[in-house]
Amino acid sequence: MVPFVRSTIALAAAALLAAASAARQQPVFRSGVDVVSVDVSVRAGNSPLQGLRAEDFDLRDNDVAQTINDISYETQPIDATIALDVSQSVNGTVLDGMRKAVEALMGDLGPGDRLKLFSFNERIVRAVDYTSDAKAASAAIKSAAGFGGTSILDAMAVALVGAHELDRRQLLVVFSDGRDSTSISERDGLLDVARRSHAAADVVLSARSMTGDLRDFYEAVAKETGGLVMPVVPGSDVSKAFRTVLSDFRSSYVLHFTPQGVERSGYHTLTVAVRRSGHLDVRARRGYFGG
Amino acid sequence: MRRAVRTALALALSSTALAQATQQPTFRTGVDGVSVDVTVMSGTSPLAGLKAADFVLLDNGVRQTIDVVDTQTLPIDVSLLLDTSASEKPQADGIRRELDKIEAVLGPEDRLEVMTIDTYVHQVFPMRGPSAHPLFSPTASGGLSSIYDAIAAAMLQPVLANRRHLVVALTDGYDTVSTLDAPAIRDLARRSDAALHIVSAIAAPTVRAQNMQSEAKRRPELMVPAIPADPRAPGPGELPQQCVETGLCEQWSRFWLPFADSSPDLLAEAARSTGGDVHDPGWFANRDLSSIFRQVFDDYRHSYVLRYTPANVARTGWHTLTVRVAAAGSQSYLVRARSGYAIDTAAPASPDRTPLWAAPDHPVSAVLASVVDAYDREDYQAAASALERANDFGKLIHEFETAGNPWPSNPHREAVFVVELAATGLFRSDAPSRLAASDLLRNYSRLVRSSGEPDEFERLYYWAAITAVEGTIPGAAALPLVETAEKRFPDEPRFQLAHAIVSDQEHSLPPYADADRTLDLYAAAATNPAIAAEAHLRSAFLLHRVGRQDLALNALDVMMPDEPDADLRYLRNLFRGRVQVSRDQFNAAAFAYRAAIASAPDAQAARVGLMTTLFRLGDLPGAESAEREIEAMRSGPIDPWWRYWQGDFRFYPAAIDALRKASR
Repeated sequence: MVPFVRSTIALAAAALLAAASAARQQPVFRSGVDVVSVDVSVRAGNSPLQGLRAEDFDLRDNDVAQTINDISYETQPIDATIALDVSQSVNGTVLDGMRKAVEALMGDLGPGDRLKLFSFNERIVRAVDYTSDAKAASAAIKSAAGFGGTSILDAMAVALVGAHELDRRQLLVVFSDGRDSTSISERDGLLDVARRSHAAADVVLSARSMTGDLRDFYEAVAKETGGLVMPVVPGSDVSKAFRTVLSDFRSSYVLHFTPQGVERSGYHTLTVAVRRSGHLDVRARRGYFGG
Repeated sequence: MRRAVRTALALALSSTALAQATQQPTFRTGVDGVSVDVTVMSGTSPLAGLKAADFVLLDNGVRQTIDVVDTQTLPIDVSLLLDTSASEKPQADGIRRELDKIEAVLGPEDRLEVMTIDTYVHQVFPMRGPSAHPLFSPTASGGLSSIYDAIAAAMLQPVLANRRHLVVALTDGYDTVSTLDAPAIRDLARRSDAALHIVSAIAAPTVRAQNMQSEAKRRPELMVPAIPADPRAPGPGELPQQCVETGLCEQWSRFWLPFADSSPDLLAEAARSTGGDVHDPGWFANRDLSSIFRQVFDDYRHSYVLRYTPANVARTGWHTLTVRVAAAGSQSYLVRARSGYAIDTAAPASPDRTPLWAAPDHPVSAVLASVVDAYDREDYQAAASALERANDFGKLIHEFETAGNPWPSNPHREAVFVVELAATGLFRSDAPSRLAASDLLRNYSRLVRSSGEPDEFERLYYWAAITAVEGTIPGAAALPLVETAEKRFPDEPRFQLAHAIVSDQEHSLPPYADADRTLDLYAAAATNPAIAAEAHLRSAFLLHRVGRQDLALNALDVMMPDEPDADLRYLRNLFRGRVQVSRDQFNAAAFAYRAAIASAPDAQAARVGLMTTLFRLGDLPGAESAEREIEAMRSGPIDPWWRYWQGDFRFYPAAIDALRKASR
């Protein structure tokens, strides 16, 4: 735990955005047949690699090769859950940057996409339920004031558990200075929640908090879900980081398969590869829990 | 720790309230003037009959014109300090007889107050004329000595216009428990108007040893571990210092810290800087208290008071005084006068010592003025709002320190104001404000101490200050404040628990260094029924964090389920949930979290705990239901868990309210 009184963080946008690709997974259960959906991000350099077909992927469930029943690209609607740190360490300038970032992200949402907005200091508040109303989201942030402790682990847990609509792709974007002070959740517990959640967790963190075990922990959470950790440096544009996260998520493939040759229950380790030459960055969540 | 006192003293002396109580170089003649007591001895007798022309007085090296020479005309206020720490139980009749003799020495306009000194300073009777004084009631010696604090208490008293102040301290010079140290007394003496005479008493070593041993058993918290690097540590075959001096030979592993800076030379320097002196026992033919006093008092009564208006020297700063007698044969005279005086830069130019607050032009800033004004009206909400307008909090505090007590007739009111001002600054987001607030509180804590035994106001002051400081989760930085409170109030259980809490705060992050020591502190606190429940609770949470889950459960089980403190009831169940999760007992954890929710329906943390536990159990409908409840929650009561690390901060509102009432 850390004191409530901390030096004010300075924030900025994503200058260190890696040429990233993200992969996500949604275990879906339909019509009495278990179908698993896996988000897979494939990037060649800084650009998403388009035009791949099911046979281009090598997908293994607990090391057993699986047949991909279906593949989709930029067709399923997205539920984006944004969790914003409004603790004492977040000052007015940062809040203004977050408001602009959320407005920018909402501008990039498709017609069927929705946004849910949480703010958190020590208390977690759902500021806006699923909506496409950019003004409502902006107004909610405007009314926020930075004070109190930081329950980032609790906020992530609530957002991950709440992202449960199976017919929509679930994206969680968390913006924070990363230093938890008031969560009841512990790190191991949150990692387990992340493994069991349907959502992909992208964590946008102040670069100054990206040190040591803190960075390792958030990267572990992101890897479990196929998400990313994006450090932002003072003076950079948070909006750019948010838009990059959404763009990366939207341009992912969604692979659907019915697990074959594996036990239904328990944790399933997933590995995804692309049968193409050249260096490709392929990312997918690391596994899922069977029923 | 003691070195900090010097800073505190310097700060204290910059405030108007204490300036009134310390140095008064002025008298009411319409212009600034300086009064200097000068004792001229010829052999062992005071020399009488000198006139202004017989003296040479230099102020910062510049010869001054002496306006007036007074002799034996000004009445004298006497503070008599009797160190009984190395005495057997005082004999009431014997001391009463000695005091009768002392009063017989006084003139009709003179006044006398008497203090006895051991662990605490006891005012036997306040300053009063030589009328019948109350019966002397001897107190059992505490065995320890706070002679420095007693001297400070006497020297800080304001010298009334057209009176003189003589402080006579009878002591063997050993100080063991004072807040102030010898350098602080030296600095204070330079700024005091009183003349300090120290009469060295020879204490019977066996009596002092017996008293200290007895006190050590009664108050072990006043003993500290020996410092290995102490240059006074004994060499091979040598007796340890405290063994030689006190007879505490068997406890070298623990000794009295104050022996580390015993400084008789500094005390002598302090006395001589006031124009006083140190008198060895052999100086007097008769060692009766009244005989010793008569000798000192007669010398002082026959001293001259030189008055002059400083010319050709800067007004502010330190003024070195040099006094000589120019009359024939003066080479053989012994001339004693104070070594100088100080006028603070910030001190008001007006000789009437009106606080800046009452000055016609009211030179304080609008922000501070509005804060004080609101505070004066007891509109604390308005005062808090006014404080929020202070952009530079450090500057505001400095301004307050410079301006002095807005309520000169009520030091307690200023003390409460200091706590509230500091409490606001401690929670500021910028480090300079927090530092200034912390310094203010630490420095002022030295001054709130009563000269006698600790009183209720002092206890409330420390409690309010500790609750405020703990709220910032300072860890070890709060230890000096807490330890001082513990020493002053060893029977106050909340201070004992506060010690454990700040130790816990210090090591709140992995790898939880010193956990065992903190657990010991909690265990000690848990022996007191008044705080046992919270001590067990906090001990349990620390045990959980260091991985001792079964012991943590045991500690939680010790707490009664019907604990009257609702916050503790909630935290007990919340922590039980966390412990059970760590033991992979998810069903038991869910049960505990539900119990926590039942005891605090508006608390969020227990719902988050329940949600994640059910999610990990695979109970998705249950988890999603809990998640929807969390989403539906709006602003409500503070979850006690959010304030857990702030320790006693939850008591701050009640503590400051009690302190406010006590100040009225």
